[in-house]
Amino acid sequence: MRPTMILLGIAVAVFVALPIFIVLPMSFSTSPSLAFPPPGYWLGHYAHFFRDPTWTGPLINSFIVAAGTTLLTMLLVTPAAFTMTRHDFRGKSAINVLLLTPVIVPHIVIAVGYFTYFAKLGLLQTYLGVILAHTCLTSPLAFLTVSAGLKGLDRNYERAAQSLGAPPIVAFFVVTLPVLRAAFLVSALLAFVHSFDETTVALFISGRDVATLPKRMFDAIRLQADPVLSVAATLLFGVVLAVFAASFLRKFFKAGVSR
Amino acid sequence: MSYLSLQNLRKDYGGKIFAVDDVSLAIEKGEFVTFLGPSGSGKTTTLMMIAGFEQPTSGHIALAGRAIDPVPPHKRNIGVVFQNYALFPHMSVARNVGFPLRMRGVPKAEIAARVARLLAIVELGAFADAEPRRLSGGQQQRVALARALVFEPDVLLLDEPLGALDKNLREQMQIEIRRIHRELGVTTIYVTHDQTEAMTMSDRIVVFNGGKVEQVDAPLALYRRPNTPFVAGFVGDNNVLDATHAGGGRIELPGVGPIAAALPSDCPTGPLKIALRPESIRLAAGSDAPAFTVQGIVNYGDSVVLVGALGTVPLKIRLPAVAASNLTVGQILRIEWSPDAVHVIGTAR
Ligand SMILES: Nc1ncnc2c1ncn2[C@@H]1O[C@H](COP(=O)(O)OP(=O)(O)OP(=O)(O)O)[C@@H](O)[C@H]1O
Ligand SMILES: [Mg+2]
Repeated sequence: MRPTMILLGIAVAVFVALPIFIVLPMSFSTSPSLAFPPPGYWLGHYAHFFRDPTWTGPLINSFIVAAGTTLLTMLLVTPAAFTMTRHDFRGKSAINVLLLTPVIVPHIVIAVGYFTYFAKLGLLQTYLGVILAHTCLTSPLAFLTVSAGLKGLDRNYERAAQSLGAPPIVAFFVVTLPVLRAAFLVSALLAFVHSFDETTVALFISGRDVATLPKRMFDAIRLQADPVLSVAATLLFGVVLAVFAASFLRKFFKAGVSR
Repeated sequence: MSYLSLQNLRKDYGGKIFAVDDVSLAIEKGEFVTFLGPSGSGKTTTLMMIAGFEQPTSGHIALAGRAIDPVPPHKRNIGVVFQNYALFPHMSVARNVGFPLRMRGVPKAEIAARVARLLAIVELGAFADAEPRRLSGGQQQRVALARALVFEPDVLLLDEPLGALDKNLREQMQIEIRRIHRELGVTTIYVTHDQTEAMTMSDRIVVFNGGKVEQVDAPLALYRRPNTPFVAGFVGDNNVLDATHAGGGRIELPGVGPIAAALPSDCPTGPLKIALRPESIRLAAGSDAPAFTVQGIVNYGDSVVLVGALGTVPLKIRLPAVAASNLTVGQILRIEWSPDAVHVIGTAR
């Protein structure tokens, strides 16, 4: 039983990790096309990537969109989670379902919907448009993460803070947020990463002006098999990895300090 | 007008009965009042309404002559100690205790001095920089107490503050809380469902049952003169018996006959309930005294409780251990009690 489980684990890990081990070496390849295994290694594709504004622009756009999405997601999701965990009212379960619909509706349907709707509002090819659409996608998971944290939080913390003279909003920032920082951090990171590598909606509405990195990559692969693509892919993966590593190291460091 | 007054408080959570049902109380400044009652009787809900965390469905609360119904919790100046302490885990002991002062914009130097003073009162001066979770339960409780007192609240509310502690620590903390109350003189409401705790600590006890107040009295008065059968049964061990008063001061137990009782002059005639403390019953010398059949013997070391029947009426007797040696189950004993040990429930005496 145990060895089979371990073998299965390794198989899954290899299967999941394999694309990375193909893309990563390719980004350092000397080959002018996407060839595997690479004939030799250099940093030429990286130099090319960072010298080409049609690549660095989307990279920056991705950061802007992801940051904006994270901020907006947390601003929306926090009060929603408070309301839904703390209060009972009519139609609550309906609202709960409504909040989670973006998970159920296929991304491509959402993308088409935003494409036609945002066209009327003039939000196509704008940061705001992409951020709004991404926030719709990231909110359910962030909502669930924050709600789970709040449900597990003893209400007496906030009550204590208030009885000691903290107005509700102060109690939130001085007590609830620090006590629940793990839940808030995780949901913010998930939102960031989700937005950073989201492709479908970005394809439809980011256009050329605010093209995100995945959108630029998609455009590139349609035209030619440019090896700079593998650089973009590696960077994309690197950012996602870095975000999670940062949170993990922070936890590790904290644990080390308090010991 | 009393210092803290609750007027016809009611809280409806939509359950079968009101969580709190028409509770009116008048609490004097500096008093130590205990809310005593079984689980679910509305003690916490009443406390939460006083603290402002729950809005009464109807009724009013006034503090120092001012209606505080519309005042939010953070402006009520009421200290609350929760059963699980609710110390902020990301702040040191000193920062926890200083929290209410920081919220009030007290200058730094003064905060330091007041925190040090309170930590000294709860005897935790050496733990100022400790993380709360490193402290024992009793220590955490004292930090919570210091934090709830440092801003000189008008009222201190404690909701089963010792519930999580073991027996020895409980008794130690009971003494501690009383000492601090004497030292600072803050009006205190203490919630417990432990009647011994209520008896030993309080100036007055409020007995809750099913959301209603059954009786408000000093501990001894409550013990001696329970107003309702519930209080008679809940406070201390007791025999609550059905009896009839035919008039002329004679009380009869069904199936037993007339018993010794000194009735108050306002005693109504007809069926009534009487309370007879197990420890007020003695073994009688003569053979014409009522006969008690022993059905069970529970030994407490210093005393022995005999469970049995007086005729057909179930009865408990508590005897000093020395008087109860070599008793056996099935034995028939002659018993007696002083006539004024009988309390007619609901009468003043
Ligand atoms: N938030 C709530 N929603 C619904 N019902 C509630 C709520 N809080 C309390 N109740 C109900 O109100 C009644 C009184 O509860 P309360 O907590 O005041 O009792 P208590 O005397 O403090 O009991 P305990 O000794 O168990 O703490 C109970 O029947 C309880 O189920
Ligand atoms: Mg309670």
